[in-house]
Amino acid sequence: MGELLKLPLRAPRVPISPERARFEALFAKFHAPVWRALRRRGLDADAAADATQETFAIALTRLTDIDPAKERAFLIHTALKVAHTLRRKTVRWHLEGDLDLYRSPQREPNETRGDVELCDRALSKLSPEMAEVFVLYEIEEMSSPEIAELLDIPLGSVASRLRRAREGFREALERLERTMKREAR
Amino acid sequence: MRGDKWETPKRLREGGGTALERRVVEASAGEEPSPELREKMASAFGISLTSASRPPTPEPAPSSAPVDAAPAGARVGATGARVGHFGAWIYAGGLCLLAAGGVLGFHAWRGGTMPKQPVALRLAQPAPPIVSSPSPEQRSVALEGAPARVLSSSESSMTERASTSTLSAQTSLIDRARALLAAGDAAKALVVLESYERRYPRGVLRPEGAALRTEALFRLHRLKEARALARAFRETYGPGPLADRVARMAAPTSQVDR
Repeated sequence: MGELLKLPLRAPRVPISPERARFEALFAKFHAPVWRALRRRGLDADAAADATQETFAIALTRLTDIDPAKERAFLIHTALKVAHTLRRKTVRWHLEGDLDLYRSPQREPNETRGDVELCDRALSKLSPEMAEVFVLYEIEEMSSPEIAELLDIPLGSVASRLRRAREGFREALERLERTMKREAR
Repeated sequence: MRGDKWETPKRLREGGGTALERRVVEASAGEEPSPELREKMASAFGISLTSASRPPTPEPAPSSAPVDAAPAGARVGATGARVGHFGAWIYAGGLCLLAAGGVLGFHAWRGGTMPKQPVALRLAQPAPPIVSSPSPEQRSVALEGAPARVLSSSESSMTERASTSTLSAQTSLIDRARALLAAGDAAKALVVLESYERRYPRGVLRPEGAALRTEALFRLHRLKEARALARAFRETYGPGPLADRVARMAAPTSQVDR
């Protein structure tokens, strides 16, 4: 374990100030949602980890600008912009055995992972705009007004994209399910 | 949700979707980076997640940290405003350096410290904190050995679970091939891909397998086979990011096709 924590380059410490505590709390609270949003955006585990790091690096430089009531929205918005900048293709799989997944204790690892894979594959059939709204509403459980503000689109557009996204998601999932059932026999 | 008045739809997980939709969305919503990965990324910023829950307490600024002079400087008498303004720039610059250092440190960690173990050894090691589970091949064989079932409504969820297990097994094979290719072992990657094709002749990841196979053949300088596969790829699997990638492999200026 000690070997895993060795770093060749010692990053400078966060200034010792109340901002440090705020940043620590921000990271602890929103690291996972940011990482998830990036994963659902089509980034593989490594790229999502990179992009999460960059997102928080940006947040660190703009800490005083972030409204405490809108921290999650700021971080996810920043993460999506980072993802756009990276211009990754939606190759949605991740390496087994990497330190990137935390298994839910309630289910078998293969089932949980398989479901995540299914979700990603279905999302990959949607346009980026629809997938974004779907992920923010269904997975991150943001409200429609929050999504509208975050994506800077009208509320009606959120509704329209969500409706089409859900239709597309269902259709893709059903197709995948049919294919897999054929193989399971 | 049709009509002029927009209504908030019930979320899929709250009963607004099918059982399968609820399950896969629930699984995705529960996916998290491992505690170790989180701690590593946090440590790149010089913070520890274990102290994140502590309330902010004022700590004495180290003598070599001019960035903390800003808030104090802003409070000093007649020259306080100017010092504070200058201090604010130092503080901002310090934060930028820190942010850059955090990113650089993380990338350096990513690039320099991860032990370059043989892929087979890496895959053989259980990855904490995930509990080791039967290998994908074992699970797949168990599924394939099961007697055929008539799919009633009560068994559909079992079939769904078998289906997702099969997909997970397929994904594992494709992942392994990809990792072998990335590690420079195209020959072994081909063996894994051939195993995938034998086991899952109608697998959902056939296109990904075919793209990796094409790349492996190029890397092994089996150019005739590779180019034939590349030519047939788009026709077989249709346009898309994978087809574009395969086409790039076969391009005359491709680094792969040498």
